[in-house]
Amino acid sequence: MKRLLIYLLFHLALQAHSQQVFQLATPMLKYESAFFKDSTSFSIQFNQPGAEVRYTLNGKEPTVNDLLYSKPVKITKQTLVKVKAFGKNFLPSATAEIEFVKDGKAIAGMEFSKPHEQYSSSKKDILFDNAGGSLQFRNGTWLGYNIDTVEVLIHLQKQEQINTVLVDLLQDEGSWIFLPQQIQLYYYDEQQKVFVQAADEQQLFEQQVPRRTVSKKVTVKRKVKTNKLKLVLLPVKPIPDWHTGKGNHAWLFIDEIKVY
Amino acid sequence: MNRKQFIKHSSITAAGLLCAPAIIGAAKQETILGHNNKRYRINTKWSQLNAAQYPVKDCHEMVQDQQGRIILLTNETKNNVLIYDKSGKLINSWGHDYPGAHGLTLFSENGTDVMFICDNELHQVIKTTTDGKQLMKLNNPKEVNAYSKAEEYIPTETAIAPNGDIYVADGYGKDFIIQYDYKGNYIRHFGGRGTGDEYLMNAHGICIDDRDKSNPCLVVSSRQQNAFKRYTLDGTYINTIALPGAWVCRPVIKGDYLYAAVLQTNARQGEQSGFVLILDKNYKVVSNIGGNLPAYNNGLPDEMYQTIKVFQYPHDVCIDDEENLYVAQWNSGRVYPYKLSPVQ
Repeated sequence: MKRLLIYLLFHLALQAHSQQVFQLATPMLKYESAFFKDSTSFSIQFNQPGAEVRYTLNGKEPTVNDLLYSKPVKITKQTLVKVKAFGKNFLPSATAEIEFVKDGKAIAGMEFSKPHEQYSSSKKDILFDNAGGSLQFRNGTWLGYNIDTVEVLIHLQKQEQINTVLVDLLQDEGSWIFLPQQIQLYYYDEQQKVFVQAADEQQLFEQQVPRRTVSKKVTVKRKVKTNKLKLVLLPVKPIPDWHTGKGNHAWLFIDEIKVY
Repeated sequence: MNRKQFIKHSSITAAGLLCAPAIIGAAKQETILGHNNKRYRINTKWSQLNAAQYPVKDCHEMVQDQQGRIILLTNETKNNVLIYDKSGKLINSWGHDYPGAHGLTLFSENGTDVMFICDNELHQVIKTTTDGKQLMKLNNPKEVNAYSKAEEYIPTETAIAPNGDIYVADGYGKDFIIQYDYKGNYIRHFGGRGTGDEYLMNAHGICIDDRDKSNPCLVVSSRQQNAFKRYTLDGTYINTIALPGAWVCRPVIKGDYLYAAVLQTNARQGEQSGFVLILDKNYKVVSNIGGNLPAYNNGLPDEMYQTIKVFQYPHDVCIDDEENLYVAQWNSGRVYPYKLSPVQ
């Protein structure tokens, strides 16, 4: 009896093996911008008979039991969306994700280091215009840098208690665009008339990840009150050995900054 | 065996037997690719070659000759040309002189098959017999003032008119289409880059579309613009076939249909997002092999994208006399071509 069962299972396995199973492609997430004031929405493009798209709004990996996508989804608060395609005759897709970022404290203006002329903008509010979050680095919402230090001076409309600064970055290592290796945050001390360091974060790059945007949150070590902040981003230099561009200066791309 | 053990064993077996038909049923569900009346079964193991003996790099293009043989062009100089039968067995191989072998077009010259190879690295078009003897070479056209040096001319494809006129697409150079007579004498050039509809951006492929026998025309890829552009045989622009999202390599006509490998999609560049599309006689997308179900809005196709990871970077498609497809791929781990058979 046991032998019969093994024999049966063996042949089933053989039959399953001879049948080529393909993976579904990652569904396409569509949205105007990853940044919003009151509300926004996203849609998913994936028209494949025999497959369906499931998504989560809590940052968890989607399963076949999660929300089934059928029509555009409205977003009203800070949300990490994850999306994945499933189908009976296919391997599930990789997961697509986008973080929708709600507007923060009122910004009076920003001054930033001069970007590379190819990835520049004439818009003074380019870093706080609620436009961006695209994976296309040439689409006009991004500022691109290949210099050693990138500085952004943030003028708030009034004195505020600061908890976190969010900077939206592109990670497209195939195009030599890396996250910064170091981010420093300073606040302006009105009494001392100096910038005081409030955070200093380092990043390691051990392997290539799929192209994505990263909403990097920098949290201040202790609560501060100010109307002026300075963000210092240090691009990767040189590009690490595992990458085809090793030894070269990496690119850094920013499209939005929020203060909370 | 005591009673307890017996029950345990028999229940496992029963469960196994009960499940078996369902599992067999599920396993038989094979993946059918494509849409409408253009659906296929795929065989990724069609080529029976040993990679150590007959290696490939990029499998750029494929054609079928009069004898029914399937001819593959690769930029691997150990064997630039591999000639298969339809079952994937090797018949012949030749060619060590084409490091940038890219375009392959077959033409029946007074009943004899001849081949036109575009070489990106030699900056040349080479006419050969099907067993590799060189018959003619076309270098950078001196008549076109836009070229200041030979390296600026990087031909990717040819199309041969019934009268023998040769159209060369400079798809990695300056995107001109250069027309010669059958002897290689310059006639004219058109296309090139610019802002009007009649210009091209990455004129990667070209073919003669003779489906309308009284009105043959040229179909040219403008790959980075995700479109085909149509011209009369004397180079007058007719119209544009927009294919949003799709990096169409070269158009291939067979019967009533136009087939093209889509190298990748706009939204997923550099991410192995290719598929194969098929247009009907009216240049309407009827099937995407490995791509989305075609849909139209106001006469334009919706943006196209990959849905199944069947291909990485498909570069050409060849349709044989039995309507089977062969798909050659660029930069896809040196894979041999796949064969797809139609499903009725």
